[in-house]
This record gives sequence, C-alpha cells and structure tokens, in this order.
Amino acid sequence: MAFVSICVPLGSYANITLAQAGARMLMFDSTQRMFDALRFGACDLVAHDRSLILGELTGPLASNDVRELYEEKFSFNEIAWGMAVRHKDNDTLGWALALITASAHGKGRIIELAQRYGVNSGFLAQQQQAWKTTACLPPATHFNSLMPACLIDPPQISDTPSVLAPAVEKLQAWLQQHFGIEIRLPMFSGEVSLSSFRRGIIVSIILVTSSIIATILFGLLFYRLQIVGSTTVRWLSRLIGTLCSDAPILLLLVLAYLITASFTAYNETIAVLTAVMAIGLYNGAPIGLTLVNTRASLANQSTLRESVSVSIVQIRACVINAAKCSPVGSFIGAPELLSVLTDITSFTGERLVTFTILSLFYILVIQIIIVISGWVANRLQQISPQRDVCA
Amino acid sequence: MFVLDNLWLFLSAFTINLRVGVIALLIGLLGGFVAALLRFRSVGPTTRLTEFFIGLLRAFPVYVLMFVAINLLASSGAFDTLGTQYAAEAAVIIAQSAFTISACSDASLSFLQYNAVGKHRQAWLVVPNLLQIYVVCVMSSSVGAAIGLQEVATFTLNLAETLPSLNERILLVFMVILFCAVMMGLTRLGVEYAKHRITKV
Repeated sequence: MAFVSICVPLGSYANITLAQAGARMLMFDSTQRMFDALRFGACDLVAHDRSLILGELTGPLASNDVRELYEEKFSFNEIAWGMAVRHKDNDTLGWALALITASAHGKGRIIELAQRYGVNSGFLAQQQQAWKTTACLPPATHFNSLMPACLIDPPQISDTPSVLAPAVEKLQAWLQQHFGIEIRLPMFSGEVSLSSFRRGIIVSIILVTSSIIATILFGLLFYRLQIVGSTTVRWLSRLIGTLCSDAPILLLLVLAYLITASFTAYNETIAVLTAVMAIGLYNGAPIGLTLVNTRASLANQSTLRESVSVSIVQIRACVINAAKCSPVGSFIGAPELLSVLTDITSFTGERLVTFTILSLFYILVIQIIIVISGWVANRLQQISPQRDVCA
Repeated sequence: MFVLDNLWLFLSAFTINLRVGVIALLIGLLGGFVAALLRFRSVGPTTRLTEFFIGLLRAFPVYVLMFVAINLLASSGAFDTLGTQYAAEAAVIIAQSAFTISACSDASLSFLQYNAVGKHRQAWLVVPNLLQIYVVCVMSSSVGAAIGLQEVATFTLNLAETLPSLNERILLVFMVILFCAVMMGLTRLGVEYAKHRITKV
C-alpha cells in the first residue's frame, strides 16, 4: 500500500490496518467530503464500511455514471454489524431485537434484502444456516438468552492500553479538574499508537541526520566532479546539479522512488534511503555549485577548506533546509513522525494535541540543527553575509 | 500527440501553483513588511518578539505546517465553507506564507536599511529578490500534492499512473522536473541580470 493515497473517515478503527500497511491516508470528518475528494482525484481509493460504498458508488442506489467509474477493489477487516442498547434495556428492547434479528436471519429476510441491494452475502448465508433451526433459539427454561455457542464474540477493535495509559489518564483527569482543559493523548495511551510514535521519532531523527550527512557528501561529490573531472564530467555534473537543486522536491522524490522501484522491492527501509538520497541531492547540489563558484572567485590554488570557509553561510542554509525537507519523505512511504501521527489521528480522531506535538517536535529539531550548525560555522569561519542559495 | 493532448491540462494545473504563489506572496509582503518595520524601527521587546516570530516561521517545515493547517481547517469546519479543493489550497497558502513572510521580511528589512543610508538604488534590489521568492514559492507549492491539491505535481502523478511502463513514468516525471528547472534557471538569470543592472548603475 506504500505510495497509495486513501481517503478515510476520521477516527475509524479500520484505519489501523491501513496505517500498518503503510498507506498514505487523507482524513475526512464527513463522508460526503470524503467522496468529493475521491471524485476530485485527491485520493486513489476510498475506504469505508461497505454499506456506504454500495449506497454512494457501487450499489444499485448509486447513479449509473458513478457505478461505471468506481468499483470495489478489495475488502478487509470483515466484521459483522450489530445493534446495541443500554444495559438497563437488555431484557426488554435488547431481547426483542435479538429475537427479531435471529428470526430475520432464519427466515432469510436479511439475505434476501442483501441480494436485492448487491451486498456481499457469504456471511449472511452462514447466519441463515445457523438460525433457521431451533437449535440456537432459547430453551424454554432460559427464556431471555440465545444459545451462546451460536453467538459471535464482539471483536476487539480498539487499541490495547499501553504501560503509560494509567499515567496518561491521571494527567488528563488532573488537567480537566484543575484547568478545565480536556485533552486526549492517544499516542501515549494505546499500545499500537505508543509503539508507532516511538518508531516515528526514531525514524525522523535518523532521516534528519542522514539527510544532513547526505547533503554534505553530495555537495562534496559535486564539487570534486566539477574540479577534477574531464570537461564532459564537469558539464554533466553541473547539469545534474542544476536539475536537482531547481526541481520541486516532491517530484524529485517521486523520480527517486520510481527509479528505486524499478530495480528493487520497495519497503520502509528503502523508502527512508530513497528519501535521504533525494533530499541529499536536492540540498547537496547547491553546496557543490557554490563551492565551485567560490573556488573560481578565489585564487585557483585555493583549498577546499578555504572555499568552505567563504561559503559557510550557504552551506549552513542548505544543511538546515535538508532537515526541514526531511518530513517530505513521508510522501513516498518513509515512516517518520508526520506519517505516524497522521496514522494515529486517522484511527483515534484526535487532531489538536497530535499536530501540536508534531509541530513542537520539528521546531525543536530544526532549532537544534540551527544551533549546532551555527556553532560549527563559527568554529570554521566568521560568518560573512552572502547570497542564500537554498530557499 | 500525448504531450499535446495533455499540455493544456498541465498548464491549467500549473495556474494553481501560480495562484498559490501570488496569494502567498501577497500575504508575505503584507506580514513581512510589517515585521520588517518592527524589526527596523522598534527597539526592545517588540523587536525581539518579532525576530523570534520570524525565526519560528523560518524554522517551521512548510510540509509539516501544511498538514497542521489542513487538519486545523478540517477541525474548524472550513471544509464546509470552502469545499475540499479550496480547503487544500488554503492549507498550502498558509504553509507557504510561513516562508514568504520570513523571506519578505528579510527583503523588506534590506530595503529599509538601504533607504535609511541613502542607497536608494540598492534598495530596489528588493524587486528581483521578491521575484525569486515568488518563483521558489510557486515551485515548492507542489507539496500540495500530498493533501490532494490539483496542481502540477498531482496532475503529473495522475498522468503517470495512466502510463503503462515504468520507463515512461520516469520520463514524464523527468520532463516535468526539466520544465521546473528551466523556469527556475530563467528566473535566476533574470534576477542576477536585474541585480547586476541595479548595482552597476
């Protein structure tokens, strides 16, 4: 599912499955806007309960034009629908609904409706078989319960509590009690969410660090190619450098993704490496070109160190920009923090705190890079004002 | 034939990038000039606060800010008012504005400083600098593809999906990159020429 964009309803439990498959999700809190986005081409697929897909796109209730354009590609997380009542109504309304449902299954009413409206009826056929005899109905001595063996256990659809869940609940209660602030911290309270969150932070740090290293290495590579190579190599490296530095980063990433996918099986590690290469080329190329221009403006025998000292402002700008570009890696499936928190939001429905944490994380990371690069630049040379080449 | 068939659609998608760039630049000019005035004229906490704010905008990754913006817009019900397409465009504009406000603030500050010391001609270097900011903004608005904005990168990716072979897809993306690089290259040449003319006289 990597590199596939899917429109999903915000907060759906099924989004966990899509997140684990590495899909890129666009979330909507209204189903109508979700289907609009599909029609506008904002996403390749839409994932929702089949009943709505049938009603809007593929079933007999949808218009002919729409039915011709869309089809069901696959299904996942097959879970039967049910009805719920309040605990106190269990013996009255609950029992009545149970008997009506069992009877409707047994007499084939539900499967008949399903077939009329094009609903997949495999599960309903099994249920009809189960309920058409009296074996599953209550014995005379236990009036208000169906035979337990015939009932399906409710599936566990929520994230299991993490080790931090009790502390998170206490914190949430304390904030609510003392400040009247109601916040949710789903990235800490669920086991899957916490694990994804930790992994997202680690991948982001690896991605930022690797992108900076790749940027510097590509910068040096372009510099070397343009001063020691033949005329052909010099012009070719300059052409490639100019293309890389002037290309939109997103398209450069896609190009890197397509080239990578042409010779290797694509996975998350490859996605991170591809993102690092593309970000390194995008930000390293201007470093190489700047160093060459600086060398040309200085005496011909000037060393690399002298060129670096003179161009340190531009080099630093490119290094900082490499760190700022790193979240774009999520577009080709790199599981960094933006990607992970988008996934967590998709199945928890919490946006505000999640994206605040995301913003704070990246601002902190970029500030650290700014401070460290400033310290390194000061160590190398007094900073002199020059033209920025990395915007 | 394939190129001609899709050229008009490509250029049509490109107008969205141009529009996003224009609006983000206008916001940047407005916010950036006010920030530059505060940085130039005021002293004390106001200047420091403005510097901090500009530094924050400069450090905020545009891509992350775009996702923050689209989610905040969705939470505030802006999708109902704007519709999906315009909400995505608004999110990209908000994200790009972080770049344009900080860049325009720096350019405006130079303009004010040159004017203050009587170097009026050098002050007009602000014009080519703003042109460069605009072109960078147009090109980087392609990140909007990640949230479904129907601009040039989205068009390219959708078109690429219709091509049967991977090589053709690679060629298509490469051609679009070439187009963008030529646009950027011409702008850079124009900016360098304008700067040269301004500083030479």
